[in-house]
Amino acid sequence: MSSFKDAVKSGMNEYLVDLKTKLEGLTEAEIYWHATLGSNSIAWLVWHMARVEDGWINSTIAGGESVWDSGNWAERTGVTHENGDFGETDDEAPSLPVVDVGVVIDYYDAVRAAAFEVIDDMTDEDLSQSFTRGNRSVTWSWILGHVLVEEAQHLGQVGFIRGMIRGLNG
Amino acid sequence: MSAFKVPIKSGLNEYYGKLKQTVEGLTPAELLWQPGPESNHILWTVWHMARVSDRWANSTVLGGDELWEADGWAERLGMPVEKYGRGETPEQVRDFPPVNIGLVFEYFDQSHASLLAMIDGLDESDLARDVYAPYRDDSLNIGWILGHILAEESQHLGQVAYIRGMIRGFDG
Repeated sequence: MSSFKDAVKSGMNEYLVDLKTKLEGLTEAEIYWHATLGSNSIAWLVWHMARVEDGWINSTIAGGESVWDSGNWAERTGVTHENGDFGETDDEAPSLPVVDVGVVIDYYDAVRAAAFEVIDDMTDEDLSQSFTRGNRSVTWSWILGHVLVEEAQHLGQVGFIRGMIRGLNG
Repeated sequence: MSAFKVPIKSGLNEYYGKLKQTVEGLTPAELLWQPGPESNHILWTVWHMARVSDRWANSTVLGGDELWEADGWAERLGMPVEKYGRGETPEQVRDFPPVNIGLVFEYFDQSHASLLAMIDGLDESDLARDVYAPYRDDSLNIGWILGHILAEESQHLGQVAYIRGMIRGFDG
């Protein structure tokens, strides 16, 4: 590994690879299990993780269509939320329709391939570019750091939920 | 060509700031609450996170002493110098000493600052180097380590937030 950009990509690879490992062998009931009424399920977390990376990198930074839209993934996954990633309530979070998590991972793989093309094309100068929504402005540097932190947080939650269900080595 | 250091440091500061917000106002009982017999509690997780930054920065990458030992934090927190958290049994997590979280954060502030300083001192050419991590019995690439620290610390932050959510509810 020879650059700090590679270090960013390495962290991103690590959380996606770990995520796939954490999902191995889980039953549908386990994937849809809620620790409490308001706690997210693994299914929702995986779908949300894919949407987050797609939104920030392929849509916000690249300034184009998300892979979700361009690849027709709403139809392919059966999840019809228009923009249902952020601020879902505890009533909504459990309402994710039953999806094939394998298809969601296919979507995530497509998101990742596109996201790495975007990052490969980014220059040092690009990092200072900013994105503004409402009265909040963030730089592309911030976005890259944030994607790593947010995605890995959710991975940690998936691992924790699995541990609650299966125990330490389950 | 070190501009991509900025997003790495930005992510490190983001998770650390969020961690402090996430534990705000929790009672000692909430900090020690475990949702399952083999699940970690928040106090253990925060302490382990501080150990993770300290070890990677000061011992593994820089090859020196951990602040945990060198600055007397193990003694101040009443724990053995070799205690790190990796591979601990459910009994060890359950019997974790109920230390003051403010003191843990004093250690974590030092540990986090030392990690950022370590990164400031790295050149792009350092990223290709491997360093030996005795507790993993493995040689690891410094570039990989940077991505790993972000991924590992953020995972633990996500766990702290999830436990808080189980205790306090969605906006608690």
